[in-house]
Amino acid sequence: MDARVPAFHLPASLPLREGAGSHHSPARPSAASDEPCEQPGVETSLGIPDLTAAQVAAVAERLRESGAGLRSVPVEERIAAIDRVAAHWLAPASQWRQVALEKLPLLTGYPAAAVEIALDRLWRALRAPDLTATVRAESAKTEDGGRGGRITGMIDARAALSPAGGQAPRLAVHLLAGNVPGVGVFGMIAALLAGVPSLVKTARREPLLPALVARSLADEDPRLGQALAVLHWRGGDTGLDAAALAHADVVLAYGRAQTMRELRAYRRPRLLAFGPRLSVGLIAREAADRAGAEGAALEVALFDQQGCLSPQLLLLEESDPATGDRFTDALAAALARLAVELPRAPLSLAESTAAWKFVETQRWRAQEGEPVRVEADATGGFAVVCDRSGNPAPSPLNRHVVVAPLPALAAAAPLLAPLAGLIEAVGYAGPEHRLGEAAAIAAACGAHRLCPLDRMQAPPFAWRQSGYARIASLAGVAPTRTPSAGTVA
Amino acid sequence: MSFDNPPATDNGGLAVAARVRAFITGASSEDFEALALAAHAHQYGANPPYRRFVDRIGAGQPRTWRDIPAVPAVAFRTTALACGPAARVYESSGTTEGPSRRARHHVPDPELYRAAALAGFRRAVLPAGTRRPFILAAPERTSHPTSSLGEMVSWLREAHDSGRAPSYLVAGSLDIAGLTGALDRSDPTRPVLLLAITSALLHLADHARRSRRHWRLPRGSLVLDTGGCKGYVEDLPRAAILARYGEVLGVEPKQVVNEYGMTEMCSQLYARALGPLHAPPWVRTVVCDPATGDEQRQGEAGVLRHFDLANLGSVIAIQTDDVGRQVEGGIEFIGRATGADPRGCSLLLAR
Repeated sequence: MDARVPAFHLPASLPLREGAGSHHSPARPSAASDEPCEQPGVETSLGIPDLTAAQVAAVAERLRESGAGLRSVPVEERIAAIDRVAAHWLAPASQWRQVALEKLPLLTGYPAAAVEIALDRLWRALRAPDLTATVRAESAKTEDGGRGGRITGMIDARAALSPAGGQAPRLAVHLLAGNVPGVGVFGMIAALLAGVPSLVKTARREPLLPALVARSLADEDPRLGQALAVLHWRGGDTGLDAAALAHADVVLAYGRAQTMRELRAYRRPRLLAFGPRLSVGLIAREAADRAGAEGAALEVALFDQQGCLSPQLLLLEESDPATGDRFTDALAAALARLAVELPRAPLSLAESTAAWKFVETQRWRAQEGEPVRVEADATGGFAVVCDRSGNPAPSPLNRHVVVAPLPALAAAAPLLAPLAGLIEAVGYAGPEHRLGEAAAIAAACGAHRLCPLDRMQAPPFAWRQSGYARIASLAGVAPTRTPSAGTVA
Repeated sequence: MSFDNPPATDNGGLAVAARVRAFITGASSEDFEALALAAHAHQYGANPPYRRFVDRIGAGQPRTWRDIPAVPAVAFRTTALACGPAARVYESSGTTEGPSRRARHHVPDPELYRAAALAGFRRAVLPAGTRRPFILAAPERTSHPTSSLGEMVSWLREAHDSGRAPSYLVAGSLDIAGLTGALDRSDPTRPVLLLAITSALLHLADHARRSRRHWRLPRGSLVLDTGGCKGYVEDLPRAAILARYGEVLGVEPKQVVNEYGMTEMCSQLYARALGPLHAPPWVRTVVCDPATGDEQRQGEAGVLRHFDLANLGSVIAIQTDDVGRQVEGGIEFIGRATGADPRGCSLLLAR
């Protein structure tokens, strides 16, 4: 591999001159702000074109013409090609995998071990059986809704011949976030399956993986590559943003609430907003043991609670008052081990300060007699706060987790009520016969996913992220905000 | 227990209070270190929550002022950290973190606060005995009875204001017509002190731009501002703020003094023009790494830890989450930490 890895993808025969300056996006944040700064000695030279608004517009226009070509590839063939790409990526010798493992730790600050887990979880979710099942499930649901095969019409050119065939969006613009490697890839795959061309704008912190995904798909089947462009420009460059959005029929946006507000102001393209959310763990007394704590610890540590599926609060059913203490100890011990095996990404000064303030506040509460116990790393690496006040403190992220002991699982519902609408997933650990209780709690707080606690950040492709049906929502015909809690995914 | 012989609090407290007061008013040339250690010993004996804190962290007897355990400023939100009954309780405005999370500073001896506020002002702004007409757009004791800034402003007026104009900050909002009227009326031969919260002057600058107006403060005038961009739409760098003041008031940067203070602290730091903040001799400020608590090297950003002898009635050592860096000759204030945005789609509820 060249030292300079192209971090973009364009449909063939649409060349762009690569920028003169290589792009450095190092991991270590600057002292004074959230902005990254140069980290001496760690240069991840990526090839990224310098773009003008006119070029972005030209790419978008080309993509808008590529939908028919994409849909002429039968969906089974698209699924088979994606499945072969997934198999490549999962093979240890895969060149794509090796480049990602080499570069992503430098870009994101996450250790190679975390990137490896991210890649494995991502590509295992993109195998043919799951893709086929999701296409079928979402098409069936839409048809049941009496909207007459619009999804199948979009997905497959053959079905489009039917009178009920709908008109597909001509371009999806994806605005990605850089918090977790691979975030946004499900959306890219969904668009390919829906027969919708995609223009993907990558995040400053992680411009590489989406480009590698697109390039690997194009390598496997150039017809897929013709319907994809992956580019990077600085977020907030209004000229380039506007050029992309002006051509979009649907926008998939990931990230901060501010980003979502700004996009809503554009009004015209339909917005699928994957805005900020949090996840919680629910641990039945039968699972309140060391294994449960270790499963929870991995999900807390992996990606430093930067994802919407990362647990911030663990609701623990106690059989006796010692359960909470034992679980807290086991969780802290597991986080201490993970601090070595899976080191945290470097924090900005603002992040460190927020973490310090959180820990000191909880320690002060404990000192002054509140029912709070703090197990924190001496150097600020992580903290477990066992909080019996009935009003658990919010986590500052970055491996700071709150355990709220409960007398019974059912007591979780009122505790989560203030967070209703903000919870993406409920991770459950406990016996299967109590899954119904967990499902009721997940449904009551409006979670979109109920899953095993130790698989919280390993979502299946069918996950209704932020409540949107994975494929059908691209067409705008599916019920988009139906919570799917109650099924373990 | 960290001390073999906790001091008898009453007599010890009175004695150290007299020494601190003399040091602050310039009547003694005692050593900061000796006073800080004496103040800490007094507080360990007389301030139960502080004693619990010192014991909890297992701090030994401090050998230098730098070793004195600093309480996190957040503790002032929930706990009365005082060495005895409070004569006044000052509250933060709650604009940064919401009214339910106000800091409360219980001050047993407001006279010491007054002495520090006046002595600090006289070192950085106007010398003792000098009076100027004040033009005011800041809280006062009457309008903001629980504001420590309001209290300080009232003391400054009593000692240094040659006029009696009202403050144009009324019920938390700016009386722009009143303020512009006062600027119109100012006597060009008599230098004024324009004392205002920063956001009020930025609103004045916006108003001036819209109405195409500007003023020229009388020669020798000073602008004293405080509070940063809190309450203004934009977070402007200091240079931009000074440029706006120059545009609207005709003042050079050297005529502008910035005050840094906090409810939890009786003393203030001052900066002139684009220079760093200077602490008076009874205050030491160090910059720390929030993760480890260790002091940062010069130039490296961190969180500010203050040691303020005027806080004798509460806690002299306070660990803030204000961000700054030690530079040649003082502290460069970078900002108030309000929590960092997550890098993507995680939701941060802690602020």
